[in-house]
Amino acid sequence: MQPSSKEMQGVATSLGGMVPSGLAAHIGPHELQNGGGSDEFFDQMVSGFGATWSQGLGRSLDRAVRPPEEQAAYEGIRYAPPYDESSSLLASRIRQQQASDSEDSSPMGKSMLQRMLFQSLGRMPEAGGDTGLFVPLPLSLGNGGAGDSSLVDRSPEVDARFKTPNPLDAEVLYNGSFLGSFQRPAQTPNQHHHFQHHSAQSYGGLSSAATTTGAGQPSAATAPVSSAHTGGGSQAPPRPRVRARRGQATDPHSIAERLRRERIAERMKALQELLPSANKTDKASMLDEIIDYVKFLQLQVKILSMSRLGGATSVAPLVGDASPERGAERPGSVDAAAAVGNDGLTAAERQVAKLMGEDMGSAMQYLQGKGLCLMPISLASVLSCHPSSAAAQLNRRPPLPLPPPQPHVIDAPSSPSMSALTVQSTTATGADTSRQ
Amino acid sequence: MDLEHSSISKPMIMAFHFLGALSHIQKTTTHSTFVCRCHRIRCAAYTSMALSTGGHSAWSRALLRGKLRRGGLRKRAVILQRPRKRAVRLEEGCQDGADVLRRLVPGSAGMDSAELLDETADYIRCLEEQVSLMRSIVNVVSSL
Repeated sequence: MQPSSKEMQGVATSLGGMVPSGLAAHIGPHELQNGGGSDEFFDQMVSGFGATWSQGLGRSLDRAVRPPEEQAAYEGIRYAPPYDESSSLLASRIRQQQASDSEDSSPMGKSMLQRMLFQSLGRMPEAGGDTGLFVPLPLSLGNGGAGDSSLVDRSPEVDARFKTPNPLDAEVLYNGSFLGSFQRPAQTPNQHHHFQHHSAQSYGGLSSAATTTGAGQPSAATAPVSSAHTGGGSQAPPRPRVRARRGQATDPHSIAERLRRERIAERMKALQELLPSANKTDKASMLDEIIDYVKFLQLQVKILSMSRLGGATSVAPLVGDASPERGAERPGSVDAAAAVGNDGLTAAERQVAKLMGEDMGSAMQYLQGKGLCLMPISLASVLSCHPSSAAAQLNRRPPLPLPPPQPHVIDAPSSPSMSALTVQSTTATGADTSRQ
Repeated sequence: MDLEHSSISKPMIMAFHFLGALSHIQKTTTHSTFVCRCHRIRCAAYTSMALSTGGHSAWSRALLRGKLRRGGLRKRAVILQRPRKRAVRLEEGCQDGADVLRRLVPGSAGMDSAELLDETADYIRCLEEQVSLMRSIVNVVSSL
């Protein structure tokens, strides 16, 4: 009884969507869990519909243990007033489903269930009993055997049409499936749309049931039904799939979260291409890499700006400034170099200064011939942690120790940024000795 | 001089501004201390970096705003005084360990994680260009 009760639960909740809230409250899903609750469900439905023919319904149900469903429907019709026909039929169908609960009748049962639900759909919005909508409902059952076979054929149609839950399609489906020979009711647009919306919902609930039962697995039917409905994001399992489209309460957050995560992943991928290192293990390590790289670049700018102090004086010729400034600085540079004090190289420094007065290139070559390098003193002094000792005017100095950070910093680019690097190997020994 | 960023490439603009700033520093601070000149050159580097982007990124605007307040810039005042299009987002802040990055990238305090990553990418690209520019200047100067 479990699967059928679940289906009934689905039917009840579908009905609950359309039925006035009072009735929906009556049809509690928990009441359907137990097999014995089904009777209460029937009674509640019947009472909610305002029918007083429960006894008659019971009689029809008793007779409808395994009869042709149309016959039972006929009996239900006979017993009940027109308004309650749909409810009685629905109740009888549900009862039959519960009673039979066999694979043979399940496809039929589902189709009958659908029909009855459609009828009740037609009933619910019009409590006043508009004959326009009600006409097809009993007539669908009035078709009898012809209708039944056609219903079986129609159920796949229901499923197929259900992929696109369009209210208009539902309308076409409804009319095509169940209005075989009877005339189509003249429905007012307002009622029609209202009805179609609800019918679309119920179609969703029932078509999924029909598809799953079409496979002939009633137990499997309930699981996909509930899963399909819960996939819609609603709390009650048998919720029509149409709701998923609108994105109810929990959906926007999850969708927004997913979008946000995707966007962040995109940007991380773009950043990863900028970075020199090429391993993307996870977001945290990528973030660390990015942070390290930004710090590294900022440090490079800082160091280069310090080295540019020497270059600032030489930039003057690049932008067409007067060269006397260079001349004014050279004696200062020599004095500063002497002041800093590296007595063993004073002579060489003087020689370099003299050469620089003539030609920068010759001065550079002289130094390189001696195995020395020219390095902007600003950079060297900063790197050797003696900023105060470096004079501002001095822009070059014979060999200075090349601290480890410098090669590391400048090493990243392929081209050596400073002339110091060109004789790095030769001054290595000098660096070791002088850096005691 | 008319600066048409659409026709002139970004590194050229950066080089122009940076060299101009360097010569300016050279003229005005011959007798300043070493540290002061270092700082000025570094400021000039960041300013030219921010100018080359044309104010498209938030970090460049924040950088230039800071420089403008110190009275160091006369151009692009209009762009800087334009209010930020986006209000500071305080809904989440997305504190997923990116606060260090927010400190590093200027003007990225009130940003979402996605925007922060965008700004970081732009910032890294500009930083790389600036570093290569300065390095090439050093190469030119040291090979004299």
